[in-house]
This record gives sequence, structure tokens and C-alpha cells, in this order.
Amino acid sequence: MGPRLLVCISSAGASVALWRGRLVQARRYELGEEGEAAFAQLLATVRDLPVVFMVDSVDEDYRFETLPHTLGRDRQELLGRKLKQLYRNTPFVSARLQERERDNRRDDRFLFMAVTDLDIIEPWVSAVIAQGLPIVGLFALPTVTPAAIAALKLRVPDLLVVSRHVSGLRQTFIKDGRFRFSRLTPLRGLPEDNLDLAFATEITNTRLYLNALQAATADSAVDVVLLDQDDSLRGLQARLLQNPGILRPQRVSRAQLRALLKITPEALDATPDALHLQLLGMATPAENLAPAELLEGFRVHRAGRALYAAAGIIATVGVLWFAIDINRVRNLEEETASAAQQTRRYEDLYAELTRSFPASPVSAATLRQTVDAFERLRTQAGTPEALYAVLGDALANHPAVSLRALSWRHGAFTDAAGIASKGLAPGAVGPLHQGGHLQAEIQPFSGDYRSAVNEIRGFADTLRAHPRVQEVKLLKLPLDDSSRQSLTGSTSAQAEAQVGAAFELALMLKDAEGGR
Amino acid sequence: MTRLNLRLLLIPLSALAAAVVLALAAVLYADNLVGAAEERLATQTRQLSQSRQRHANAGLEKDILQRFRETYDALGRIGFVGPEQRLNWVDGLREVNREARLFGIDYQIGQQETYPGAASLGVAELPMRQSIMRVRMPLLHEGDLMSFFRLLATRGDGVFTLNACDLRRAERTPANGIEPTLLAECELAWITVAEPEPGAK
Repeated sequence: MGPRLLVCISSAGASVALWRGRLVQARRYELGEEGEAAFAQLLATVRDLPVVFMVDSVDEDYRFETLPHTLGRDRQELLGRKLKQLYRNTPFVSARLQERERDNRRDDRFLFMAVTDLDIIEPWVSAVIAQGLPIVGLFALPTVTPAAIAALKLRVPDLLVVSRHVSGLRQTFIKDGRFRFSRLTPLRGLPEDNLDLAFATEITNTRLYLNALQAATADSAVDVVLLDQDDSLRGLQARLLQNPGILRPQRVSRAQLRALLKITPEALDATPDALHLQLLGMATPAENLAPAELLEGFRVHRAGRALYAAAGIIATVGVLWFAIDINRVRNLEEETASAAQQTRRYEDLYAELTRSFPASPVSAATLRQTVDAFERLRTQAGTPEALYAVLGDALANHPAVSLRALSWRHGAFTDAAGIASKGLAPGAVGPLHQGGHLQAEIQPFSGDYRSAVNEIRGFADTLRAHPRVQEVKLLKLPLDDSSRQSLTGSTSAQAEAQVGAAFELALMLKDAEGGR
Repeated sequence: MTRLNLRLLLIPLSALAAAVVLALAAVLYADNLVGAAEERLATQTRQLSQSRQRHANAGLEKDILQRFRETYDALGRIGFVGPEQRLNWVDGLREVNREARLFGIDYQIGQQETYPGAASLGVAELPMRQSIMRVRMPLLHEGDLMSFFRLLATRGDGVFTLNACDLRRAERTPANGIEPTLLAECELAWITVAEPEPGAK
């Protein structure tokens, strides 16, 4: 728990202490204008400090109620209705589930509590609200008592904790470590000359009340712990020891309280509420009596703290990330510098070696590439001679075929059809091939298309059979008898002589051994 | 949460926003620094590898220089290495036309351009250039075409490859003397390798 301002309100005034892991600057303010003004002055000096209220009043109420088992919103509504029904005149109420019944219905057993004396609360709470300080909650004083059990090693099932306050004698019954009820006996009306006897009588009465509540059996001994912060209850302990059958008293002295709870002597001297302020600082009870609207400021305060915490975490992560990256950059720079040094060393060694090299206008690699490029160009170079030789052989066997035009190509062709479709500048990317595009006709032509086509096909077959030819493709015949297109013509001898028996074909040569 | 409460949270929210922005900026800036440093290291490592390789291959390099230098110089003399020798090409055409007793050659030389076949020759990094020349000439016989190219190649005015040749019958015109029977149109690529600028290697 972070720093907080703890305020214990009673009918006599308010005890205030700053909590920083222990009580600091504890002081008392009397009820009245003077005390309230001094309290307001104190509040003006603290900024954004959460305030926790604790009320020690005789006008308090604790009661157990059994309600049908519910959960969630149903339970909230049920408890809200019940609290309104029980405590109409105070907003400082609380309900807390204690246990479930053991019968078949398994009903819920709730502890309802309230502080009904608004007059003693209002001035102090208003002063805090006026300063805009966040309010953590408002608790009944006895609800902080269970915090003492562990610290004082009081682990017994039935425990009656007795302490003396400004407003009177407080008896708080704790069963199995949980708060059950509390009684405040005002000092007013008690015989001042024999308070021990009066207190002992009150404690005996409470023991009997426990029987009535069935909180303890009549013949069992109840442990009574006297939290004696001013060592004023020695006589009471002696009184109680005279009746050992039903009560088992033990006293925790001021020195023990200081040692076990680590309360400063200054705090104990400053206010009789120091013990319970210490317990309030050690653990915030669950039974918060403050209405929701009073806690709004603390919710905002908590949200603000959470945002600050998130900002802090993000900033820390950012800084760490940055630091790790910067460290990595430094390592990389060192590696780079080392590599640069090695590079320089190799370059120096290389420069030393190259002094004995023959002079050259270009690097050895370029020199070699240039010579290689020339050799490969020479190897790959093509001329039309091969095509002319192939055609010469074929035409010798087909004297009726008469050439009109011949195109030779050397380029990156993939097939014979590609040769015919290329212009004069074939693309030079990819393997180079040679080929030709032939335009010719059958002469003489008498109009006999069947013979002419047969002659052309024979010519193409002759070319195909040539060892240098890879592919021959007939591109155009004198008469296209394909069923896929229309066919027009004339059978007159004059017309046939004019049309002639022209045809086109393309051929691709095989790559020659050792070159193309 | 009321407006007043939101106002109270304004400072923590601003702090959170500032933390997010600053952290993000710091992270991005630092990541950029790391990226740049990694890149510098990669570059330096590559350079180191190259230097190491070059040092290891120094003997081989010397051997290459000794073996190929003479050939390289010869390629320079025949116009393969260095700037184009267009005047020599044109002179060559004129000389070959005379020697082969042709009927005249029409020529057209295009702009120099990058030679696209360098990669297929396995020398993609070599700065090879080409100038396309188109020649048109009447011929008596197709054999004259090959004689023309052989003569042109042996002159050593440059290095060229033949891309295409079209032959077609010439239109006959009434004349008494020797008359060309064919018309040839060919495309040549004059290929050169650019020499590096003086001082660059």
C-alpha cells in the first residue's frame, strides 16, 4: 500500500496519521471548529494523497441475515434493497458474505453493518472532499482488528479482542479469524474509581451474549486478548483471571505491541487510536461503508496511477530496447571496423602483388572476358552459305521449283514459323539459330494444282531429309484445300497461267558441329 | 466517468501518450540505426570477401594478363576494342565494292546501342555495343554476296556478325552490258567493346 492519510473518527474528534509503511506524524484533532480548521490546514499541505477513514462510534450496528443464494447483479440488487430496508438514515452501510448455510437450500449468510452517527463523520469527510483528495473508504474500527491476529500470533477459533479508546471500551469478537461483531461501552456513566471492575463486568456480559448468539458454548472458555497500548489494563487482566472458567485472558502490553506491530512510540503517545490506525495501515478491510459516489475520486486517482504506471513501464521498455539496440549497433560497428581493417590488409597485400603484374589498360577479368566474347562471337557467327548449299542440293532434285526470293535469318528463333514472321532485325537474346524463308513457284504450270502441290510437298520432303535441316514448314500453297476457309478460282487456261503455282516455306537449320 | 474526472486524468493520459510516442520513436530510431549498421557490415563483409578472393586469385590474374594481353591488343587493332571506326567501315565497303566488281553498295548505319547478345555470350558485365548496318547491293550471282562478306571480314576494319540477308530477283531493265540479276539486302551488326575511361580499371 502506498502513502495514505489515515483518519480515525470518534465522538471525541479525529486521530490522523500519515502512513508510509508505518505511522508518521500522528496527531489528534478535537471535535469542533478549531480541530476541524486545523485538520483542513493539514489537508492543504498534502496533495493528491488518498485518505482512509475509520469510525469508532457507539452508533454502529452489526447483524447477520440469511438470504437466498444469488449471484452477480441479482445479489447486488438484493443486498441494496436489504441495506435500504435495514438502514434508512445512513449512507455508510456494508454487506459481506460470511458463509453459506449447511442445509439443502445453501442460503447465503451475510454480515450487514452500518455507522449511523453521521454528525461525527460529516465534518471530517467534508473537509477531505473540499480539498479534492481521493477517499479510499470508510471502515468501522473493529473491522481492522483481524489484521492484528497474524501479527500477534493469536490463532484461536473464538477470540474476544478488548481495547481501550477515547470513546470507551471496545470488545470485538473474532471467530475463525473473521470479524463477527463488536461492542463499544462508553466510559460515560462508569465508576471512574473502579473501571477495572466495570470493564470486567462488561466483558463477562459479552461472554454471556456470545452464548445467546450461539457463537460460543456456555462451558467453553473464550480467549480474551487485552490490547493494552497504554498499559492501563493490568488490573482488568487480574480481575478476569479471577474468573477462569469461561474466560482465558491474556494481555498484550505496550512494549509487545510496539515490538510485534512495529508501532512507533511517538504514534502511541500521540493518540490512543494509534494501534487501530496501524492495523488500518497494515490491511484495508473488505467491509467498506463508504457509498460509491464518495469513492469516485479514488477510482480516478487509481486510474491515474495505473496510467502513470503504464507510462512508466512503456518508457522503461522503450529505454531498454533503445539501450539494447545501441549496444547492438556498437557491436556491429566494431565488426564493421574489423572487417574494414582486414579488407585494407588484403588490398595492401594485393597491391603489393600487382606491382609485378604486366601493365594492362583493363582488369584481368575484363581482359579475359573481351577475348572470350570475341572467340564466342566468331564461333557463333553465321552466314547464308549453309542455307544456299542446302537449297542448292534440293533444287537440283526438283528442277520445276523456281525461286523468286530467299531470306536468310540468324537469330534467336525457336521454330521455322518464327523465321518467316521476323523482320530484318531478329531478337538476339537466347540461343541463335539459322533459317530461311523461301518464296518460289512451280514452272512450268499447266493448271494442274494436284501435280503442283505434290511437287511442292516432294520438294519440302527433300529439304526435310537433308542432314542440316531441322524443320520445314509449308507456309503457303498454290491452292489451299483446307475446309476451314472459302476457295475461289477459275478453270480457264488463261486465268490459271496468270495465277501460277506460287508457294512459300520456311526452314530452320540444325546447329552445325562446333558452331552454327 | 464524468467530464471532471476525465479532466483529472488528462495529465496521466498525456504522460502515457508521451511515453508511448517517445518509446516508439526511440525504438524506431534505434531499429533504424541497427538496420543501417547491419547494412554497413554486410557491405564491408562483401568487400572483404572480394578482397580476399582477389588476393587469393592474384596468381591466376597475373597468368591471365600474361596470356591474353597480346590478343587483347590485337582485338584493339582490328577495331573490336575501343571506339567505333565508322570511317574504316565505309572505306572498307568502297574498297570491297571495287575489288569484288560489284555494282555499288547502298548502306545505312544506325545509332550505336547496347549489344543484347552479351549475356548469351556469357559476358553480361562486358560493355558491348553494336551498330546495325543495312546494305543493299545488286549482284550477278548469289556467290558474289559471300565474296563480298569474306573480303569485308578480312580487311580488319572491325568485327561484325550477319543477322539477315534477303535475296530476290532483280527487275530486268533493257541494257546491252552486264546486268545484275539479283538484289541483296543484308543486316550486319558491328560489335565493339568499350574501353574504360583512363584511370578507371
